[in-house]
Amino acid sequence: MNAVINSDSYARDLIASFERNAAEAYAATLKGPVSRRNFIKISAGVGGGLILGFALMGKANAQAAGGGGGGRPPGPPAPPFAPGAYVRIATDGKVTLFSKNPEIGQGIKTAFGLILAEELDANWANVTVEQAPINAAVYGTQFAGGSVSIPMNWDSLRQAGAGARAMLVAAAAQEWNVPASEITTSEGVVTHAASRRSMGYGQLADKAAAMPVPDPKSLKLKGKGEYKLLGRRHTGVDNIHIVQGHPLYGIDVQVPNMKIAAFQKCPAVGGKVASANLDEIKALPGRGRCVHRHRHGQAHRGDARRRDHREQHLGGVLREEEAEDRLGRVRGVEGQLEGHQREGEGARQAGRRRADARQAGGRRRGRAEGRQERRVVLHVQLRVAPAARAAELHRLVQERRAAGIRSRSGRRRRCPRAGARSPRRCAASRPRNRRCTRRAWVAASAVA
Amino acid sequence: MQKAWIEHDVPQCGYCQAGQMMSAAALLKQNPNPSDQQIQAFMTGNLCRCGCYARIKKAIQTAAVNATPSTRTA
Repeated sequence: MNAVINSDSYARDLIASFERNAAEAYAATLKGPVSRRNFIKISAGVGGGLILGFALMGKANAQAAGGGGGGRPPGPPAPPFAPGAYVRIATDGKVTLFSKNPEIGQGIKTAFGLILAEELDANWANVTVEQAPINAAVYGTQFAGGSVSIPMNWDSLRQAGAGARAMLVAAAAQEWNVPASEITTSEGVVTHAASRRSMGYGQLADKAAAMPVPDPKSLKLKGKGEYKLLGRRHTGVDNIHIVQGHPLYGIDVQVPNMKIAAFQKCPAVGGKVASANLDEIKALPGRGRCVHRHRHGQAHRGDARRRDHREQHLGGVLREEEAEDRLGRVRGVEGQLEGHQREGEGARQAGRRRADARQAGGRRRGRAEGRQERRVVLHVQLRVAPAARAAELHRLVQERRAAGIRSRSGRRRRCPRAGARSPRRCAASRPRNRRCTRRAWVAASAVA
Repeated sequence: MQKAWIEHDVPQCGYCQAGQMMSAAALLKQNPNPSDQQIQAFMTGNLCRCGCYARIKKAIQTAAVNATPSTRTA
């Protein structure tokens, strides 16, 4: 597993797919504001699992959008090289670094800070890492997912840190009138060894800000042997806030005049709100409470009136006529299965009698066939399908019966693959011997 | 408790940690020297999706060891 994760081609492919995804998301934004649903849909095609992204850009960037040169897919324009977007140095020497990707506990805020500080040669004890604002023009795509934050930003972050350092060095070179090549930096201090002069980053900050931004390609980045911060364990930059209970999370966000809503969701897919006790709620004390009924069956801020037990099983609150309709169909399927159960029960008893008789006879003669069946209705109850689906479910049940495959709680027949009569006799289920590993046995458990 | 949390690098996303620490403080108030099982049983209600449980336990043990009578009520 490690070999796969560390291999270049894997990282390259994943990054390429993310860049394509960003390009698609960007293209979608040109057509209009990206709804959250669209963005999630676009992201779902990418190989990585969870993606939390901020790749939303306003139409203003459309003018700036180029086609992208060479092999790069057309997409968001590469942000201009701007060390200042990542590094701020105050005149008292305090360094603030900006981490552009969302931090969700994976530690990227700390890691990005370390990468920047390493190339910047900052004094880590003096560094504060802050969450960068959402600004794709400045930061490019900002998202967390697929473990690609570091591979995607490794080069650009090092360049940003090194670029800021180069500007400080240039400022010192101008200040002392010495060639930049004779100047070294370390721990937030710029030193000219030959003349034994040194200045802190804070002192040079204003002058450095006035220096021209260097060409990123001209920057010399550190080799692995030169790392002072990277490759060592560091405490997470937010730990000090976390242990003090500081408000760091989305739930802590406050905006002026904000309202707070509670959310009541229909317990099953496809359900619609039939009624809600809105009057009761409006009569409650307190200002600014409102209730909306969302078309997907979610009642905000109201307790949808509990219907009777049967309708609960059909999936929450339904309109009267729909409820009756579905009840009828579900009952139809239930009836069928009940019939099977009785049949199964009878067959099982017959089987037992035959087995007893055989044993009494002391010889194996023929085979005892026992069947047992339990209702599979549970799945129908849990998953509310549109009315038409009940008929489909019935058809599926019939099909599976014909094919001889049953769920573990249903009728057991010959496993079509291993040929055994029961999991216990199935060679494929040994050495487990109790639980069949064959998919056929359990396939029918997913009825819907 | 906070110092132990920092020392052991306990949090990842940190969302549960305020509750973890409060429960841990209550535990140590009740039982200044809990065993592993006692820690586990007491803290069982505080879930951590990031899975920091091992470090939480270590931090509680450290805090228990380092607690002086004056800090125990904190």
